[in-house]
Amino acid sequence: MGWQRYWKWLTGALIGLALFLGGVIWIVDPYDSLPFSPPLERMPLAQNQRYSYPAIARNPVFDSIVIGTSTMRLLRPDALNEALDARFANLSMNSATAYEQARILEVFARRRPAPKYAIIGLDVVWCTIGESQPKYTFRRFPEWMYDANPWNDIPNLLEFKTFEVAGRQAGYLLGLRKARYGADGYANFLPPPSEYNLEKARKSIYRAAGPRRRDAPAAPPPGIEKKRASWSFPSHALLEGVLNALPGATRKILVFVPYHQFRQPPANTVEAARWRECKARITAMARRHANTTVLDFMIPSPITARDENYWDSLHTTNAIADRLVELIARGAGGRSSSDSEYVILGQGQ
Amino acid sequence: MLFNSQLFLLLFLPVTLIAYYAFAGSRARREWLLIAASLIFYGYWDYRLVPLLVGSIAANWILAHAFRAANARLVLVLGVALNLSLIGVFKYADFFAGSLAWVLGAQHSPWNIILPLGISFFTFQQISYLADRYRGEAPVYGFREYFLYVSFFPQLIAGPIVRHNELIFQLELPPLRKGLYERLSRGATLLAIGLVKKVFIADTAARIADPLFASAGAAALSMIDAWVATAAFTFQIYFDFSGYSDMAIGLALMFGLTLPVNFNVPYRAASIREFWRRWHITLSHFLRDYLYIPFGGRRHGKLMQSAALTLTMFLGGLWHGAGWTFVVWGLMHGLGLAVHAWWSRLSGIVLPEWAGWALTMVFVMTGWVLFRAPDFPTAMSILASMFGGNGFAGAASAYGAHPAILVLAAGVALIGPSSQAAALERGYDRPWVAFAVASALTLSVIMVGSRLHSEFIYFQF
Repeated sequence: MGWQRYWKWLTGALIGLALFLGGVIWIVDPYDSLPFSPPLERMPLAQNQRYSYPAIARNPVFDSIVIGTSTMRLLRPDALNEALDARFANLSMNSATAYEQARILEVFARRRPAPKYAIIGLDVVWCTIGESQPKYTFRRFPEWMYDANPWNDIPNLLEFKTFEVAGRQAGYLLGLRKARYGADGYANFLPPPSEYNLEKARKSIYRAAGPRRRDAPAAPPPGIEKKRASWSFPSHALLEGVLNALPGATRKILVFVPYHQFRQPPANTVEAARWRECKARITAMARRHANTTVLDFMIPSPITARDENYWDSLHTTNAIADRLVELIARGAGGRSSSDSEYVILGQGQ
Repeated sequence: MLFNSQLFLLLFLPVTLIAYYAFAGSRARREWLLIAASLIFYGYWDYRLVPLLVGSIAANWILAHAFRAANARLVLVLGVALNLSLIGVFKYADFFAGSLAWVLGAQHSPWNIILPLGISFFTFQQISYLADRYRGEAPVYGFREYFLYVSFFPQLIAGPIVRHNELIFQLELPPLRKGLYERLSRGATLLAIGLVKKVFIADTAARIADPLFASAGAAALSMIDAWVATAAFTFQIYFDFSGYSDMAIGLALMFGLTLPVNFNVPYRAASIREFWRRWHITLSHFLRDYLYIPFGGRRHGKLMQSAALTLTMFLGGLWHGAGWTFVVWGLMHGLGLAVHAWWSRLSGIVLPEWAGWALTMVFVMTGWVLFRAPDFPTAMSILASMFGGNGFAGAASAYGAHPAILVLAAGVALIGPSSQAAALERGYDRPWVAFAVASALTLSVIMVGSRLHSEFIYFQF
């Protein structure tokens, strides 16, 4: 054949393969992120929510958002829509760091002049003491999907994972497979209620066969009150940034999530002091921002005291998640809980 | 910039290649273009190191002009001292200070001086040029051609160690001369082979070796795991470094320049001497010509030859890394070569080929444990495990990658032809081969985008 023809075959094949693979990525647009891709009814299909959710955050259909970790994932957007008369996307991500949560909210806020509601689930990631906190988990976080430039997504898509998700997306578009998450980001990750087993749940909650108590010391640790002032919560600066990024008209609801009572620290411990300090500082922060309410479900209450309400010490049943939606709506309206299920810690006017 | 990065493969290389051939008619333009590209390539890691590279090249070029009959020795001493002090400060200062502190029973807080990439390569390359100038075996080159000789990006970071008389004369050859498409095609094919070796074999073997070597520091490995770890690193370093060399040679050929062969199926060697004739060949030649022979070589009897071999390989070990494990690795190979020299001259016994191969492989693999382990205790623990010192039972329930990759790697390393022989000498100008090479390149591009870029092992030297 000769080397000239070999070179032509080689370069031709390279160009052909590049066009073919590039074309597949562009048409299927697995993360629904590419500019000018064909308008198809795509769904979030990446296993890693950090790849799936930016497209939902940019979707103009939604005017309200939930962010948090898996402790907030069970809040159904449909239920929130009904309770608060809004169009919610639930973009809570498993084990999301404070930074990752702030980033997804940033994408959401960037596209909307005035979001209606922002519900922010507050758990341990927002109340950890230290000089700094990790930005990411072991899961990959595609920063390039979170900036304002869609064009820089293109070079980052040249990886096997893209083709894997493109295959799933193509399968969905052809009706061959189901979506992993709803178009609003919600997915019920719990087993069906018929599989609920109280014994197993208790094992998970108590790390023991049956219920037990955590004893509270008689008095607080010496000098703890002085120490409290010196504690630094590195994620609070991010939370302040999140609140600043949202317009004053947006209703911001900060929710301390309902950890099972056994997971909540006993009184007079350093851990209890840390949570108290964290709640106090976040409440003070909320008071500086308009339309901001802090609801505390992380208290001993009829919800958190009952084992039957939980699959494990962090995750409630679906029924309780729906009850939380009602209570959040009630609390957002400034009304107290009739059954001490939450406390309104503070409100910014 | 890494060869195994999308930035290099999709942007830097095509743009540089097209611009080079667009300037093919003007030697000055195409050479300045390659110099500029090489500086961008080097500076992409850390632009602050570019002045060091440029300064080193300029200083050596000026020194090369200063050789006169009366002062040649002085200039050589000055030049070698300059180069060694540069590498001494950047690469060995912490090592020597730490060793001295250890001898004195003191503590040394590391200065953590940044190690400029490729410093061992470009420094030794320039020492060899000064030595050749001293011997009257090298002309004075123009600044541009000398600059390009040292900084030419395919060989700048990790070799092959190219001598001035192997490269500079090629610069005047017109790039569009006869055989253009053959050079482009064979170069691209060798680049693809090197990429596949690096991203599919070496990086996969690393996923087995790295966790095992890391855990060996905390607890002894089982015998099986110690051998798996050693075998994994044995293939990792071969496919990593020979893959890099293939890419370097292939890339240079695409620009119409031929670099020397660096590997020739070394794991088929049936003696340690043969191993060093097949492994990192350009370094072996450097050590032979600029250390072993000046130390006396075989001119002063067996005892002096053994001393010369041991000293040469001691320095070779130190060249690889600023650490005592590297020094002992070098000494071990020096002694191995000395024993081999005595054996072959005095014993009269010739081992069967298979026995020589097995003995060589065990020796080389034992050496790789020292080379890879972070410290002596870890190395000793792994070696003890390999030879039954920590019991015979047990194995990890899972490795970082399927160990079958090691069988595949062994097959390629022991049975297959050398990649240079396959890509540069054989006739394969068929459409299906072109399509296979294009597919391999495309898959490699996607693969390097799929994980964090792993650097080449020899970048640290």
